[in-house]
Amino acid sequence: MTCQTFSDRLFDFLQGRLREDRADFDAHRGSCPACAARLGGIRENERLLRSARVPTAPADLWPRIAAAVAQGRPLPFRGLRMASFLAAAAALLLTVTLVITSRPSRSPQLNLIVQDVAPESQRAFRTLVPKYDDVDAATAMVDTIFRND
Amino acid sequence: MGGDDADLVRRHLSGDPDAFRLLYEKYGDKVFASAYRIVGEYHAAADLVQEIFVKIHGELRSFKFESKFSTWLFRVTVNHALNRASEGLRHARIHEKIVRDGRGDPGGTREGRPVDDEIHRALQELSPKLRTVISLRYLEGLSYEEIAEILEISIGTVKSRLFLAHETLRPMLKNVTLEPEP
Repeated sequence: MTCQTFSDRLFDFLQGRLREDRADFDAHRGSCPACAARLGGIRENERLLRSARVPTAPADLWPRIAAAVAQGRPLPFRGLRMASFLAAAAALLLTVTLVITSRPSRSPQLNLIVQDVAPESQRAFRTLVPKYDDVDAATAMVDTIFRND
Repeated sequence: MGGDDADLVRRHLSGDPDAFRLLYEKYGDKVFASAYRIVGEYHAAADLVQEIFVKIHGELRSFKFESKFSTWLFRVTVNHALNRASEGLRHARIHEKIVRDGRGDPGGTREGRPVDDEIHRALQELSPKLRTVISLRYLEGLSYEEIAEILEISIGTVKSRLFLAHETLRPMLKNVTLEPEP
């Protein structure tokens, strides 16, 4: 028996169905260490795979199936999680939008200018503003800030 | 076809509202286990099982009583799971993250032996087709003939896929040992 034939018969042997070639199979196994090792490895794999445990279905799967059957469409677990995530994201977005729109509007340029110069004096700011386009608006904003301080 | 299954299918088709639930109770965990092995992720498997049972609820009318119900059910399961797997789920990476996060199977029953995670990770390295024959053979305990019927392939192809799967798994499983049962 060749190694190829041995491999072809291997699963019949493992299932206890090797009849005609059994003597040749055993002889090859005794004389070919590689094939004997292969058989041993597959047996060990089988032992592990048969012993492996898998999780059982979620306890609430049947109620979901029953509901889905009643509605005629599945109610996906992952879809529900995604819907929850999107709802939370929408709520957060709405909150942020309300906070922003409820405050006096400032242009992005003005925010940047105020951050840059707030620790400095008004004079320092006036040396800085030529870099910005809307100088008058920036100056007015900073004047307002210093007046409030 | 087993008498119990045939009775349940007929009862379902004649409008018995409990029959389909009884079919789920009989096969739900088995279908889930196969789906879990093939797609590799707990919630994806739960989605899949739900889709499968909704699908077969509508398609049982077209079931021919020529084959076993379980064969038909596993064929639907495997085809659905393989389609899902081919859609690009990254099973092993997802599972690794889930195992690391310790939140892999909320609501299910699992004893969480490390060896089970090692075996699961090794299986996720196989192609979905190889994973499927391994699952049907060793998880469901089906014969080569039954696997061939479910997958609609020859017995020779079943054996060659098993051989290739074992060759791939051996280096990954060679250091995995089973703890003796207490």
